[in-house]
Amino acid sequence: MGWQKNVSEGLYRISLTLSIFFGIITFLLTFREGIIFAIIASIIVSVIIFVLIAVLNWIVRGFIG
Amino acid sequence: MLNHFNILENAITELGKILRLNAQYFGLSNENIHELEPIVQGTMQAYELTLSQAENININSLRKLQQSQHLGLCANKIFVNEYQNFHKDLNTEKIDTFKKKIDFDFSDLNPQAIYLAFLAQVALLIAIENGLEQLKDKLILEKNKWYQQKFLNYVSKFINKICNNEYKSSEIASLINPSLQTMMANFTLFEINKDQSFMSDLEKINQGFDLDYSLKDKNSDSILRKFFKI
Repeated sequence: MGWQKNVSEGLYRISLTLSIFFGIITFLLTFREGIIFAIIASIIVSVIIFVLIAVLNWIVRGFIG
Repeated sequence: MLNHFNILENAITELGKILRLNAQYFGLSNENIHELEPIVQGTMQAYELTLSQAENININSLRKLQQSQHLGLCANKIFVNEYQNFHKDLNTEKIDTFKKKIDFDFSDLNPQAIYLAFLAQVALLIAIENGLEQLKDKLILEKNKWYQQKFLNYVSKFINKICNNEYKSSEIASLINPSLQTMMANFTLFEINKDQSFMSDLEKINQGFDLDYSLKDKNSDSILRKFFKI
């Protein structure tokens, strides 16, 4: 694996960790509003964080190839 | 009863078939076919030498030979047609950079000779795999595809590491060989030897065990990985 892919692998792992972490936090914070709402909210937060880091990766890969 | 001679005979027959198919490329005709005789003699000696690595012809010894032939073929495949994309992490630019960084005179190489040596190795591999079929070994084709994919990954890893200057020249110096085929096989083996888990898989196959040869991407997160170009 080239070092460019190592950078992407690192960002991928960061995105998974952060999206799971913030997904759980969102679930716990919104649980009082109802479980369905909490699940949807945590999925939305997880997806947003994952997409944000994927976009960051896309920008970084533009520089490093 | 299968023996060394049967395999050798079969390999020469296969080589004949392959050369007939590639007669136009090598410029072969009825008039100049005799010029091939010294090459065929040399190839036969190389076959004998390879087959002599197996004391007896049985499933395990043929599996070992099949493995080493695939390794040799993958290691040299990139030189047969450098413009073909054999691996997602390899391209012509990388192969050119690799050639510049290795202390080996690639300019002296004759493309026809490289192709002929490659075809000779293919012919021996066909004979070995036919032998395995006769001995009723299982999953020969699956192993064939598995080896090609796995070994090519190590060839690619090595070439990429050379391009990225990840090796010290002292590490590489001992692997350089006047024969391109041997040198490339040395490089690939050097990379494989670092992966103990893959080495143990190869050993298991040689002892007659079979692995899961399916080439499906086993990462459950492979779809997510695509967003990151991994």
